[in-house]
Amino acid sequence: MKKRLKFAIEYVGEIIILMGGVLKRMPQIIRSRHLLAEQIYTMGVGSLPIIGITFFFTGAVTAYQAAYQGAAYLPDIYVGMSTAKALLITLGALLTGLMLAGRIGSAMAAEIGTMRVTEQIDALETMAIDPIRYLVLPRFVACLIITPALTLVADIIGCIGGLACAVSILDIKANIFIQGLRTNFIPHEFWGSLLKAFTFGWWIAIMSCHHGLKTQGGAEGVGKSATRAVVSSSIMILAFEFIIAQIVF
Amino acid sequence: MIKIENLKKSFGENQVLKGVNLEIKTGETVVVLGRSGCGKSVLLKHIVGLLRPDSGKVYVDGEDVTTATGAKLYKIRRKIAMVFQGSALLDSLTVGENVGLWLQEHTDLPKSKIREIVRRKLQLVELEGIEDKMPSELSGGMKKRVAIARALAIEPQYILYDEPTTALDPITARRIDKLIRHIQDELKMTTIAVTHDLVSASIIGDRFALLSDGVIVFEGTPEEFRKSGNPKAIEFIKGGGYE
Repeated sequence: MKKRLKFAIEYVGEIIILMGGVLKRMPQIIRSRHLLAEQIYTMGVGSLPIIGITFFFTGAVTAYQAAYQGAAYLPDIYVGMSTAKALLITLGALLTGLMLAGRIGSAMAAEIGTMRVTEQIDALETMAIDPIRYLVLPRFVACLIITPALTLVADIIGCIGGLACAVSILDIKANIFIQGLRTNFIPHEFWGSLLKAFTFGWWIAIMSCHHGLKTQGGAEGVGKSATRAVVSSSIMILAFEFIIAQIVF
Repeated sequence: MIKIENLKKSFGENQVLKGVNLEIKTGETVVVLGRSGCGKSVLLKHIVGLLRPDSGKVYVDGEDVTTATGAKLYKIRRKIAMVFQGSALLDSLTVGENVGLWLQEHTDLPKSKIREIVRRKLQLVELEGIEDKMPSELSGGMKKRVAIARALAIEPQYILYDEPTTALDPITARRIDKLIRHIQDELKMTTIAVTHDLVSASIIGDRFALLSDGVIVFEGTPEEFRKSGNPKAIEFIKGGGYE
């Protein structure tokens, strides 16, 4: 019990130290702008297809479910309204966060973990290159930018998916569906959704880089770090989904 | 000058270094010999401050590496280059980017100038024209030479080699040994190499230090090493079939 408590305290302490270290180096991001651009491209553009496919179907399913639940007693406009609400309040940011935790969180932990076990990080340190500045900072800032950006894309594609389902399967007129989207759009919810996405990006980067840097052993260690990165990022995403929902909505 | 004083390091219950004392004078090439797992690489990592000792000191030009942190440690590290056992090339960068990384990060040189320096350093290790290749496209020997070129790009005062010929075939290994010797003769850098390969050590080193049971049990020239009656040295020579 004592050992577990010590481990938990150390774990939290290491995360806090890493966050402090990254924030302290934030002004140096200008120096690492080429690395930042590379990360934004790899993470952001690389994630677009999977986000697009997922949210097209998520929007379609949301519209279909809304129609299924309310078909007997609610007007057609309700389908567009509930699709927008579901995407903005929860699904857009949450699903994007979870998908990015799986896609880029695991990749970040595996990449940094491999660098750790093959002495590439030691090589950086001996060249007087700060690994936090060179490896973690660009990934952190890239996550802060791309998670809200992809959430925005996800919300839009989700609405398009919902519209496609409404028009082709539910026999709802496009203008009715779009009117529903507009009627229920509340800017405050939109900004809340982006705030959540920003927070999720923060945790994906911090947890994944932390586990990558702490990797020990060989291939097995890298695998474990990738798994831990996804699990811990997902837990933080779900916890902060709840916390921010309480504050914002 | 590098001075190591009573250096001790344990990993859990395993005490790897039990009080290492060693002095490396400016300009000389010292080879630390020892069996696999005896702590040679651990010793090197203490010199560049990658590991902190349980006790003892490491001085580089009079500055204590063991207590240095942050900017002070980076200042010391700017004098030292290390060639890692597995080469440790950054696999997301090209060969040219790897060799020029230090210059890009620590100088304001224009890209064209960095490219020129990279070309010259690769020429020095007989690997011209591979700037655009990725490390994954190179053989073990080529990676090792690129790692040496990367170390030379820093123009360090001290260069550390961690098992420079491990996992290489004998022909490539001798080529690397001769390259290290050539670089030493040309550039007159203070060099520390750790190896368990006595043939390699004989080509590279001016002076041998034998690490055994966590302490330096012999120091002297290669000739003195062969003729010494030190039981650990005899065991090493006989065990390796170098008689």
